Amino acid sequence: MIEFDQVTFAYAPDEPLFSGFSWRVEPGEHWAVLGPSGGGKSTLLMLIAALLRPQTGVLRVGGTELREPTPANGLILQDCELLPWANLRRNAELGLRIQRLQTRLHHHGRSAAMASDSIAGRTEHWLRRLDIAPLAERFPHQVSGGERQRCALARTLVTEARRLLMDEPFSALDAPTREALQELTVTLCQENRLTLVVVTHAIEEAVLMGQRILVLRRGRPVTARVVENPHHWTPEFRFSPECRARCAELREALS
Amino acid sequence: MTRMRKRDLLVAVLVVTALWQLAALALAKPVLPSPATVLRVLVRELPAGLARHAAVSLARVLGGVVLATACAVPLGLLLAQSRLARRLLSPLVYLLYPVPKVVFVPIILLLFGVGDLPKVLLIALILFAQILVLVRDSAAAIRPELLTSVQALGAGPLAMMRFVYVPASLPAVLSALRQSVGTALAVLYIAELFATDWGLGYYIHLRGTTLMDFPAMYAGIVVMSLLGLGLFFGIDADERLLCPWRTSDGQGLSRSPSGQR
Repeated sequence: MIEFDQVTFAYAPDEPLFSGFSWRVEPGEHWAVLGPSGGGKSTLLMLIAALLRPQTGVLRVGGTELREPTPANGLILQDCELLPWANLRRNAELGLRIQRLQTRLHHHGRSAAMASDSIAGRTEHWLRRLDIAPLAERFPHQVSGGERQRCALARTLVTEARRLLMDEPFSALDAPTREALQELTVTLCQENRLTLVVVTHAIEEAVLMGQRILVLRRGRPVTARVVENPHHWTPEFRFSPECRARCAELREALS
Repeated sequence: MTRMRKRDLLVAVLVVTALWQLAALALAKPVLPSPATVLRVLVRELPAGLARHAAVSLARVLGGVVLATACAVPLGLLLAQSRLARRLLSPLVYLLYPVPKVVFVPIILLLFGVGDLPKVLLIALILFAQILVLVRDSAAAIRPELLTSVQALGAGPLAMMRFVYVPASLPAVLSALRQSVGTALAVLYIAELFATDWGLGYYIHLRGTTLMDFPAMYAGIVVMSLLGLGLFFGIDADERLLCPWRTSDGQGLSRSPSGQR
């Protein structure tokens, strides 16, 4: 669960971007956050990921107030977040290796830390699930943008994230790749009962990925409203009149 | 200096040897013996002390490399990350960077006296400035999105060092070494003229001036050249080993647009 309770956040010295902002995401829900660029979408995601802290109000993620980032929140950005010097396998296992390093540090020894073959096994599983196992020894610049995003997804799922937080994850990709990854993401979230929050400026993406859509309108503070979209990602939805009607409704809400 | 193909290098060696032979024939004076003479003397001199002179010089260079890397990498990373450190130290770096380090030879020899320490320090000083600047720039050029996404995986300061900053600065260290190892050898030669009985600088200078043993002097020069070449090869090998993503198809990192295939 993600719960914003009267949250205020400002980038000093500007006027608050969010003021008395309340929002609730139930476990396993798929949310899209739609809005213009500079409208606070990414800030919202950074707040959930605990990379930014609210100035007032309470933000509970998974039942607790987060003080520092946790791998339970899988953050996926538009591109370039893979380590350029590590091959896809090393990138996918990064979260686990970070955990192991920090566990050893805190417990002064390897007893509590994860074994290497356990890391390798879990990584291999997700590389296969995301269809990038044959590319595991390649470096990020040697694979396509879509394959890099699959690797970013693998890296997040390997750490057993409970929530996927995505910031314009597919906007740099061509249309067929984007659609395949949108479908894959929703499927993975359903299979693993993950909460999904995807930030986007593309109306169609919001309609396809979000069962509920948070529409942010530019302003200080930003104003928000929720659009329900219960039939997202059923196979026929993309071509249905309901989908077109929803897009029109959102275009209206944004302007 | 870019990476060399072995065959091209062999051709270059043959050309230089041929030119040397022609010049020796044309000049016909003891001051320029033929390559064959020098090779004969080289084979004779190596077990008789030249190998040890070379080993001493090599050890001083490697000592300088280790010392400079150990000091410059942490400081470079600090400069890249801390605004305070930048404000305090950047003017100093700016001031010292362009100073030709060879001017410190007399000072360091006076301060640290005889032995290996002043030679190692001098080499370290030359490499230090270069490594510091390149490491600082490469760490500062890491994309903020990359930092954010690794932090989001729960990485603390130590994990950021281990998984991001250190690997990101490795190529900078190797570039810095490649750029300045030639200068380091030149300064080592100067430093070995004083207060030592070992090292290629001492060997070459003594044979060439006091003893007038020109073939042996050339043998020393050949060994010095081989030492420099060996260091270049060593750096290339390290780069293939430590930075496979750069040599895999020659693309750089960090700021380079990795958008499309």
